[in-house]
Amino acid sequence: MIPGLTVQQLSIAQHAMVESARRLGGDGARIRYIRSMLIPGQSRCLCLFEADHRNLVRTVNETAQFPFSRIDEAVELVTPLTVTAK
Amino acid sequence: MRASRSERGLHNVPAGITSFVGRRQELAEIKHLFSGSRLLTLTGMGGVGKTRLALRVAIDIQRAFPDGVWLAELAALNDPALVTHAMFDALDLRDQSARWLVATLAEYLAPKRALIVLDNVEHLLDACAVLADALLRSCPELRILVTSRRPLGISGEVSFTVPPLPRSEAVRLFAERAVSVVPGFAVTAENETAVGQLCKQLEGIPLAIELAAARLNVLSVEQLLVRLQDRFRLLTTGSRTALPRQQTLWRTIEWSYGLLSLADQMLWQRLTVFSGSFDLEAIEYVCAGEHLPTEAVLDQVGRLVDQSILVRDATRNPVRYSMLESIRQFGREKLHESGGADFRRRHRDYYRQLVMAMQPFGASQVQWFDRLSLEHSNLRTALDYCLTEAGQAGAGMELASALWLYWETRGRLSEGRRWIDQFLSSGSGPSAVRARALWTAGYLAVVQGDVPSARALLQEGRDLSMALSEDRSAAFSIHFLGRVLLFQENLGGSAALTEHAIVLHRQAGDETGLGFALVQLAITRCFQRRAADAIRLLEESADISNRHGERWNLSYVLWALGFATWLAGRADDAAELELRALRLKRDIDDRVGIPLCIEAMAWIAGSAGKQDRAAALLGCARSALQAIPSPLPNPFRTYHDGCEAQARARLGEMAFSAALGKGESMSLQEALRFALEEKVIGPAAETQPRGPSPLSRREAETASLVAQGLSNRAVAAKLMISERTVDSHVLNILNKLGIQSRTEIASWVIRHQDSVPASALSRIR
Repeated sequence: MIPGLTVQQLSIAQHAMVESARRLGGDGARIRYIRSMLIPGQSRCLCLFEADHRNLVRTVNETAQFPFSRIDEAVELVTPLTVTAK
Repeated sequence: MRASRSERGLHNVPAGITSFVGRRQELAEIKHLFSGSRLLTLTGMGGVGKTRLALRVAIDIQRAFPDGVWLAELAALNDPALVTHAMFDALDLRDQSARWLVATLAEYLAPKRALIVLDNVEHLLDACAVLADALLRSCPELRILVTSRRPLGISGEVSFTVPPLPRSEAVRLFAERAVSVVPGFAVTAENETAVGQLCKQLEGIPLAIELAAARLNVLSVEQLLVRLQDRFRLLTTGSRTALPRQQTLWRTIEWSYGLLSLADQMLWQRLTVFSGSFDLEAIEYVCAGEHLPTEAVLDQVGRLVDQSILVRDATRNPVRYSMLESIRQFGREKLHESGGADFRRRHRDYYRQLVMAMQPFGASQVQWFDRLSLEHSNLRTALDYCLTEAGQAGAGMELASALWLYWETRGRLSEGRRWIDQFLSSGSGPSAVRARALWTAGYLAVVQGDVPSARALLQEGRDLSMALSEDRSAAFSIHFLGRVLLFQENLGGSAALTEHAIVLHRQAGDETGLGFALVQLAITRCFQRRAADAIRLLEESADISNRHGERWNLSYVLWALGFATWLAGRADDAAELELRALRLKRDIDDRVGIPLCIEAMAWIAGSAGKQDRAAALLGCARSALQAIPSPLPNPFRTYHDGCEAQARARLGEMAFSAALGKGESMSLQEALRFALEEKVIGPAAETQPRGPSPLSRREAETASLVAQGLSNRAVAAKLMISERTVDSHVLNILNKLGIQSRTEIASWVIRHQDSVPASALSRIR
């Protein structure tokens, strides 16, 4: 929950998370910021990372000073439409 | 204590560094580099003088920054997630919302031409780099000056390595320091060679030179030189891979350490468990015992000050002490070698006792909040101990929860929630402490306007409290669930829950909860247009506050009473009540309450046909809310919108915008003066008659400048007297007025402007 977060602010946050992931990745730690989705009506922002473990995601967010409610594992599915089109 | 931030000017950088020596070439080069870059990092080893140089640069170029020069000292901060909070502190912003703080900061700084100095960031390099990058991208006129042992490593950064002092400047520094130890000391033909060799031995490192000069109280320059040379041959402490100059500093510190008695060495070690600054009482509690008798600590502290191990801040009453980071690191290593966990626990115990002894609903509540602000770094350290030591999470939860009103009143809502969230997620089972932590976190969330989180936390807190028969926690959980419904404009539901909470608070005999709940229900009644009921409830709450000598809740009572009285059709009485409320809120520095009062004054002015004033007051309130930052709570929007529409219609768009803009452009102090223009004698004035000032002319001048937010150094520069004399004037002022803080001096000056001699005022303008 991040009340009042605008698309423009999300763009600042993205830069912060990309930079944070870049700095904290390496030395055996693998993390990459992928994308975020803002749901303004719910003041909710979902951020997708690819990382070795959740603590790294936590550290990246804390370094970017970006608040979060929780960190959950996610599974990515390719859309059937894309598969059909191929 | 530091002056109320609302009283401060446009910078918080200590003015007038009297002991600054040389560095002319470096200053010119740094200014040149800064003219072509928005991010400049001064790098270099510890003790080489990065901070002093950065502050000198900041002071020299402050005129180029009309929106201020702001220093954020990060040495005492360990949690990278709190870097933005430290910036909020530096910029005098309050964290009242659940928004992303970086975005809030970026919005605030975006239109401003300001300079931020981030001091001592090497241990928080990543967080500072990410924050600086985000701010510089969003704020085109912002410049950042950093001191760090390493560069931040972001694009656009220019770094400058601070070199040691050249020989001539090193000798000057030594001579300056020597004079403070041996009055009349001078570099003469007899000692010139020895001084030069000494400075060469110390490789021009300012901190090493200061430590050596402090020993002139017992040794001659020649003796110093011989002993240092001998020690340097023997000492091997410090990393062998460290640069030679770092080894020189480390060995100088070790040499200085070696000259102390065992007891003084022990004290040095133990003092490193503190963060930021600390006072004698804390030192005696934490460090005495185990070969250090309490009665000896005072003399020991004096010796450590004399040896430049401790830095004394005499502008505080009581006097506070701190340590330079290199000195602290050395002592911490020594403590670690001797096993110092017990002193971290004693440090936590001291601050836990301090917090538990707090009377947040009593006559000294504001002094307590000021004291806790002063101890904020140490509170963080105590909480961090609870978080990192096995089996201490319960104590941490209790400590963080006991600070609930401090988190709110000093605008540290996010930080309070962060601590409590960490303790709650540390896996503790159901307990009374957990129930309290849940409602505390829920309360902080509801104040931030994060209604969904607040509801979930408060419901869990209510259920756990009821399961454990924890009546007090159940009462508070239900009480604040009522506030959640109020913010959602479910007035009936809010009133029912708050009435239930009032019954429970009465049964539990909890007058703090009862006083707050009565105000909450009264506001709900106002929105329900039941003004008479609201007034009755507020009168009871006022009785409770007066019985306890409490002022925080009382200020809300007066504000709500003004609102209710206005709804009851008595606009003149309502205006007087809001004036009294606003004066009180200014005294206690309630940044949330101030805009609420000004907002209510706008509605009252509008209803009395004073549309121009109403529009300007709306502008003042908007500006004050943006500085917190916080939106006006939902239920108030109807009145706000009505007032705005009426003023706009009566004045016309152009005049309305002009008046609104006039209010919006005011600083908080200007807004307060504007809102209080039509003064009505209220209780504060009645109880403090304006007789002749008890202060001398010089003290009155000093008080007026302190009230403007100037440091003692700045006051000294302004009045062209020594800083020590200003220290003495400030202590006299505190003693004569029977007060304890600079905030209170500012409040006194504002209340007694008429009694401050005109000659004093004219001299300081």
